[in-house]
Amino acid sequence: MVNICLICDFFYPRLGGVEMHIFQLGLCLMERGHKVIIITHKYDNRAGVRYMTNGLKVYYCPFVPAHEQVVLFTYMGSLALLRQILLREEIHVVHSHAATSFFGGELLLHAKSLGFKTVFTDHSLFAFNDAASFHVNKILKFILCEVDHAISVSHISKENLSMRASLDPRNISVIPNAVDCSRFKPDPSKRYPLNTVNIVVISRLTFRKGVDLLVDVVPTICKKFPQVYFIIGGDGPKKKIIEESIKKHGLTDRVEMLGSVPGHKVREVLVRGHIFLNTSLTEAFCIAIVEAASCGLFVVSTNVGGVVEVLPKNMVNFAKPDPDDICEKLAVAIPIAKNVPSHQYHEQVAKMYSWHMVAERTETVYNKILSSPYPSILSRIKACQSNGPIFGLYLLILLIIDYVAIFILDLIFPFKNIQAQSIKTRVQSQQKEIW
Amino acid sequence: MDYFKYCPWDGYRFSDNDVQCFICRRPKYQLASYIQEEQEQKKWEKILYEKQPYDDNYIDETFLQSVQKQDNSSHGPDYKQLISKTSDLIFAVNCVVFYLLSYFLMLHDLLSDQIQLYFWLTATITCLIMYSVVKKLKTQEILSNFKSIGIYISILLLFAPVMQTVNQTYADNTIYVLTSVAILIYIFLKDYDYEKDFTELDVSQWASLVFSSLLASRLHNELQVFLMIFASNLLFIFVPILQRSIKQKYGSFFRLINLISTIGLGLSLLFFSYFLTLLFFGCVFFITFVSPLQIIWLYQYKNTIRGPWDLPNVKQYD
Repeated sequence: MVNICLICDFFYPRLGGVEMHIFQLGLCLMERGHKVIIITHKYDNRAGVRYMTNGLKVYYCPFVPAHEQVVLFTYMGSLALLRQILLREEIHVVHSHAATSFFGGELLLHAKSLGFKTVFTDHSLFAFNDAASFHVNKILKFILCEVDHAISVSHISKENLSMRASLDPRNISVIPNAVDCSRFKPDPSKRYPLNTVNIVVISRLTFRKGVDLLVDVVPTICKKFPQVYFIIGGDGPKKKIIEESIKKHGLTDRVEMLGSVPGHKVREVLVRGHIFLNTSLTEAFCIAIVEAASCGLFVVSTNVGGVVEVLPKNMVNFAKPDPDDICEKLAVAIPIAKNVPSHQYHEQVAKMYSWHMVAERTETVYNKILSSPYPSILSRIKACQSNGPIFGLYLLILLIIDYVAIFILDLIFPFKNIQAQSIKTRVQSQQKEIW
Repeated sequence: MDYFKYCPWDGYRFSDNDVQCFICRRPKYQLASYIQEEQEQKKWEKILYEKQPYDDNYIDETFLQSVQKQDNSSHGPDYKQLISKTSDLIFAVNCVVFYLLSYFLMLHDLLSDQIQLYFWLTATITCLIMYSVVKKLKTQEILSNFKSIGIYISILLLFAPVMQTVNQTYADNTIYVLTSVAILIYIFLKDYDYEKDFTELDVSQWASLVFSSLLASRLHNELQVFLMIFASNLLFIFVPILQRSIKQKYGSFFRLINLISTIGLGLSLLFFSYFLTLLFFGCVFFITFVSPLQIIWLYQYKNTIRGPWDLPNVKQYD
């Protein structure tokens, strides 16, 4: 049994890809017999310790997010509390998610000094040529210079991560995301309106999701195919642009704008469609197309990032991120959309992606790093120096401060006084009995 | 040649003459080719939907093949092209120097207010005429532009007394330091590529309004304040629009104007200080001839990495 701490700024009640990944991974690891806790910051009035499904323990730490639900990186601010949690829960592995989660990054840095093994999962792709990417990549290199192992959600993501953080690719495993297929079952009887070919688009209506492409594609397809009906779900800053385009071309009876769609209602929208259209400009994995395929929809998607690795060619048509090419691929998909074998797609997806498989492969990573020796202080210093002569020196100073702070905390709150978490929840003990 | 001595599926022992297994009828493979065939069948693919018989951290020979690095050795910038691009920066510097020169003349009453007024009005009309000719505007549009200028002048005349008193309480040192900072912001953040459509003011244009209002507070009367702010709007907001239009159609003509204005400004600075003249010509020489050499030298260190993670160029709707 491995005691695992999953940490990220992004978790329930916020709902998204990363949040679902952490939740599902935690549950499946618990089913495999490991102890899992989740650490995140407080959300509104949700603070303290909460227990979720199957007794998944979540620490909502009293840190206020500074911007976009991300806690300010203070380096020392969270050390005392996180040390207390990790020692009390007798953690073996600290697993952080998402490059933009600085709370997780901070704990990864302290975890090495505290003697834990560290794993990082990257969920996004970043470029190298814009100002924001320079800074994020530099900080990521600093945070990951000592990580024991990294996980990427696609092969492109592995290449991207190895270049951004200068990681040895032998220390990066590719473990894709998954989908809970039991929640995304097809139902062709729910396709509405009838006698039309329904194209569903569900995404945040932002620039990165390729909404500008949609503005050109929708009128062109509606003009060329009178039987097509668009169902667009989601909200964002680009929503008005689509609405204006629909009004301008007189397509209010051919395009249905649903607005923001809650997570539990996504399936209800997907099963209304024959085709799922994804126009993202960049994606590391794209869970949306897997959910759509699981619901029995044929997928037309842009061939960006890691999207090309996700589905087999019989389930998806790839197009360049250009309105003309997307229209061309839709034109190929529309005539065959009603003959798509929905249930077959669902079964195929269920075999391809499952959270149990993700947990099993992640467990392999944990076992590998736990069997490797703990790095010496000299190797840690060398890892700091790999960031360059000036920044490396700065990191070395931070490392020394870290050790001094831990030493002081050990004097004030000695390890032997921290009561280990020996109280098992009723659900966990019941589960053990069943197994 | 190596062969399986026993069938790997059911353990049947092959004799020398056997071509296939007696029990399962599978052919008797050559050992090396069998293994090679197995390996060939299970070649690694860059996919996620199948569990492949490789470790999750397996590195294939195609790793990082999708990365495109810029080849700096063959595509360095051209020296002549860089020199011609510096003309925009020199023009911006000339505008600033010319503005400061006018301010100096006004502050020390070296040139009467009336001459300055006639000069700036003539300059405005000349710029409008040039703009109308280059853009081939219709009569109605030209008259509409003149009408807009007239309304703008009236509003500015009304606000001139207010602008004179706004920053009057600040010390001279503070005003000149803030002006210097605003001038630097204007020069560094100016849109030299003309990417924006001039429908709204950007940071550099706001900086120009800031330093003109700061300097205007040091002047003696309302007419001078009006002239300074009017001049700043003309030089830093309208003239760039005219410059873009002229440059698009008559590039050589623009470079000629630039050259004449640079020489003229430098010589006019002689009346005030030899040092200023030397400094001005030194800056122009450095920007035009020395900086491009530095850029060419630095280019060898430029490291552009492109790959499937880059955002594609897509037409954006606002």
